[in-house]
Amino acid sequence: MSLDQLIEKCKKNDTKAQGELYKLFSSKLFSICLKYSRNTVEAEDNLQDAFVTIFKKISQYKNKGAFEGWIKRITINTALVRYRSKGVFNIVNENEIEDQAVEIEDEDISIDYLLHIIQELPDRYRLVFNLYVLDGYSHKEIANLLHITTGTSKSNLSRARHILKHKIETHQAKLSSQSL
Amino acid sequence: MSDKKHIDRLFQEKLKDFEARPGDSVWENITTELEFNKKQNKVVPLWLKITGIAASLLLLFSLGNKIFNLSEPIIEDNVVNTLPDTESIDNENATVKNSIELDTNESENIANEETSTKRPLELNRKLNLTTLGKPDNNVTISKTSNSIDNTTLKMASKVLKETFAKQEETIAQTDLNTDFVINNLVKTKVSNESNDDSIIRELSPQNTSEGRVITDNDSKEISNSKTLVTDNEVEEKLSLTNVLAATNEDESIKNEKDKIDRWSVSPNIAPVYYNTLGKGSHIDEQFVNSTKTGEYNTSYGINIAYAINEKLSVRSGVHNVNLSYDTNNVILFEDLSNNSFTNLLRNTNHLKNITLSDNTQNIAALNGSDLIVQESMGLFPNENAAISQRIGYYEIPVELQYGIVNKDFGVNLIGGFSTFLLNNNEVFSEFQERRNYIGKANNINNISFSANFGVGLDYKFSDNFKFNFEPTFKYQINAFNETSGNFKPYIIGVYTGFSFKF
Repeated sequence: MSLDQLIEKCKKNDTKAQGELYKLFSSKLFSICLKYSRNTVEAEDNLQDAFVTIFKKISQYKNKGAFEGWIKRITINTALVRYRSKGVFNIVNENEIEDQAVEIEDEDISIDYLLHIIQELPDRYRLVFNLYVLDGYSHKEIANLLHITTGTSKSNLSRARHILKHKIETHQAKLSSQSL
Repeated sequence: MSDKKHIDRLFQEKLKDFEARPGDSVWENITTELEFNKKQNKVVPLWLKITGIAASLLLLFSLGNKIFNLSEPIIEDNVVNTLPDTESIDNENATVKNSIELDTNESENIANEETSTKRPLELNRKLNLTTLGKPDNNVTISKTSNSIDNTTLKMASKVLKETFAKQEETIAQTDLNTDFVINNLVKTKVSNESNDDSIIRELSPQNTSEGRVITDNDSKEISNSKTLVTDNEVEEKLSLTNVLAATNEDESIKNEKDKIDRWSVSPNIAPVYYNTLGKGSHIDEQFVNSTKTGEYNTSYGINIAYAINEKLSVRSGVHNVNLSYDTNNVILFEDLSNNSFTNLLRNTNHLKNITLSDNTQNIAALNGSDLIVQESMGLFPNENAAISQRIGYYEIPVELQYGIVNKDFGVNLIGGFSTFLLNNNEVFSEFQERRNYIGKANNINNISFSANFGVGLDYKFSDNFKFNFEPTFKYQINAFNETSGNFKPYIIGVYTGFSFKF
């Protein structure tokens, strides 16, 4: 069955088709959820909410543009709704930190570890970092999505990078001391 | 050695193809949630809503009625309702009753005994008596209940209640009731004890007659059981209030849900255009082919609408409609001389459907576009007059409005009918800005109807305040009782106004 047929069946609330669609995309969308959430449990919650939204709104999908892009946006948005109001206070964020090149040695760092430190970031830093670095949103778009200013978005990103860099370096130092 | 690279690139590269399988519970949760949503979204059919509302209102009224008349009727009702509670009890009753019917003397004996003694012990004896008298039935009785169980006790108390309610009835009646009591008690006390002396004593005829006298004490017995009854009464009242509370709750929930403001009032005004579909004249045959002009007039009034649901509403109202319609190119002349020519003219060319007023009795009308007339009179068509008919109605529409688009900007379909009550009927002659009243039409029905169809556009300023714009076509069905040619009048109105919901 082609994806289009599957979508059509999902529009008619066909449970079997919904299951197929879930099988097809759940892993991809779950990776997004993991990156945008604080932990696996919350990521699963987000995935659940995202799929429920997808199935409810699938009739609104007019076959314009990639379906995958559409469901990814829904998934990201689900996470944004969950986290954008929480967490980081606005007081600190207006001072833009000078965005110097944050370089790091590319040694064997596991995906799990990277994911872990992303999840550990404060909510807003995590969202901004994900949106900007991993999903290619501009600061302007991020500002709109998170109801913040572009300055805040830039500053959040910069802080996120520094936190991540620091963590990776500590991690690397630990690893090398262990291997010595 | 590895190179240094930007942290963004590191993450991008590493996480580019990252995928992870979620736990199995996620899909289960999704299906449950979707299922739940589906159930919630199931649309309750309209008829169910309406009958539901009607039923709950009925229930509310009837319960309310009972609560306010809370005295005897309630007890009676309860008895009636609760008596046939369980079939088994009835069946048991029947068996016991049978046994008693087989020997009337015996049953009477039992009845009277019961009323005089009131002691369970003795009841036991009576029971034994029954079993003694009817060895055949013994088996059935002992089978049905060997111990006192609550339901039968309750049953007994209900019967007592019944007795209480009908206290004022004849003794015979109470007798019967006590029979019932015994039947039940007998049931509760069934045992296979061996017979003793007392049973034999009770069997004796003296006792029977004694018992009969004692029947009058029935009421005493009943008064004893009163406490039971009142207990039950309280119970029943409680349950009633519970039911009532529940219904009230239901209602309030429903009300909250239904908080779409159902009523709305919309004053409106409309330019109305009156014309005819066919070729014809409502004045006289000779004008069937004359040019006629529909005129713009006004209609104003107020509508009240009731929303059945979010899309469908019923509305009615009152409008004052003024219509006018001109028949052009008419030659009107007035000749007071009484010669044969004018008389002939008057008789042949009178306006069939117009009753002339007193001071215009001498008017005759000719069709100005008639060439012969033009020549003979030596007149030019453009000098001719028009006959202008003014009609006023009170219009009472009954219309259904169905919303197609229900956003800030709304689109509705409107269909229905109107009743027109004639309130103004005048005919004027119009000639070069001069207008003279000449009489009134005699062929306009006092009550007429129209079929209405329209499209409504509205714009919501707020939830309760809307601007309406409704071009509506109204086809008049029996406006005139006699017309010439094919005169089919219609009205087009562009109803404009505001509506307020409340």
